[in-house]
Amino acid sequence: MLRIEVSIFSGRPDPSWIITDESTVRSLLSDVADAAEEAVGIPGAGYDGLGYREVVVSAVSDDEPWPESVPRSFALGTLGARNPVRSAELARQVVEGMTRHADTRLAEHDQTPLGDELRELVLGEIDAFAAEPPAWTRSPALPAHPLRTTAQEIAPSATCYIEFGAFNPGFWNTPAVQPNNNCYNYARNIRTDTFAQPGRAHGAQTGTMACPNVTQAALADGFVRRFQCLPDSEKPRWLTALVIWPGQDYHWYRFHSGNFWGHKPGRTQARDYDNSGNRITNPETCNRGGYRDFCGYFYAGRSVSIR
Amino acid sequence: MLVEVDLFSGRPNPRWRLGPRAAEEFRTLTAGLPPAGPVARPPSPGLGYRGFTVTDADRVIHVFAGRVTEGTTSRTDPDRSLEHWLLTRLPSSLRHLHSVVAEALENDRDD
Repeated sequence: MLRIEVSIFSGRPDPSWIITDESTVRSLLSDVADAAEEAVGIPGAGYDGLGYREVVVSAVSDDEPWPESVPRSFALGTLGARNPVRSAELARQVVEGMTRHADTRLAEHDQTPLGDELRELVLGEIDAFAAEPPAWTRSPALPAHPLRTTAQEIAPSATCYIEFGAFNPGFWNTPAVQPNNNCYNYARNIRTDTFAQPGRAHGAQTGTMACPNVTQAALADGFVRRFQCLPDSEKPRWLTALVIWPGQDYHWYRFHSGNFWGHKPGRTQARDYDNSGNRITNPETCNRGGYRDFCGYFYAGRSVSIR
Repeated sequence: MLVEVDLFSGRPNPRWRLGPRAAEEFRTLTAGLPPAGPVARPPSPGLGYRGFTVTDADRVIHVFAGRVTEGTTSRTDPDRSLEHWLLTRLPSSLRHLHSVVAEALENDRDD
């Protein structure tokens, strides 16, 4: 999935949407990768005055399959690209699909609803921007990020395959992402900007902060217990762990390549260390503060839906 | 004036509003604290109590571990009096959190 945001407004939220259709995502990333050298810029590195600035394309999870030559968040239609005209062509291509991808509801849509009128406005602004760009200094593109690996998990009764994702805190620790995504977003590895709650997407949210209750809520979202093997179609299949601060709150961890665990306590930064500052190699024994109940391990496959 | 206690990981943090009189008292207490040098906010301990965030119109003030920070300015509060004061302003609906935060303040004192 891709998140698209047109940087154009000052007061209202910028037009934003999510591309969920996988073939569209692949096709767009492929086109961008082919032109990465000349058409891709760093978000915010180009023109940053009033009016149209750029189209920002970002991964919705920190492990989205991604071309090596393209940063996980990049700008099109930007003066930060070496060839702003080619960059504008790709930005146009993205914006033309705006109304086809309006199904995923975002908070921005309350004040900036998507529609033909908005799309035409943005396309006109991109054309005008490309035809007569404001004076600006250009910036080079960023390097790419590592991909994930698959590994076996063996128990007496089952051998399962799961994915070990790279630890990528930079995805989460930005002003736009960090305050609006919590430990549950991190464990599922999806940015929803809703401070997602177990069970909420399926009418199964609980107010009782105890292992059985939060577990049931997460199972309703599609989590499964460890060693209930998931098929390849569920890739990426993350290994996660749930802990409880009895009566108060819950917390999740996600396993990473390199044999350690990452987590994101509430609105704070994503990290790989515990309350003692030690890298987390075992969520059962690490310093978890008051989150003293260890509920167990779970897999989160691609069909897990959270909100 | 909106007060948020930064406490939870999964659930949204508890929030409440201070009335005009309490808000004015908070401003007076804050202004009376001695300025500190250019020290960054105390590091977040991770899970558990991480301080209070007070939003007063366009001002955002963080109160944690004897430090009161607002943007790049900072004041010292070695007795953590402001945190204790904010704790006494918990509304009745959040009274159950009083002992949780008080215990965290007490434990930090021991460290």
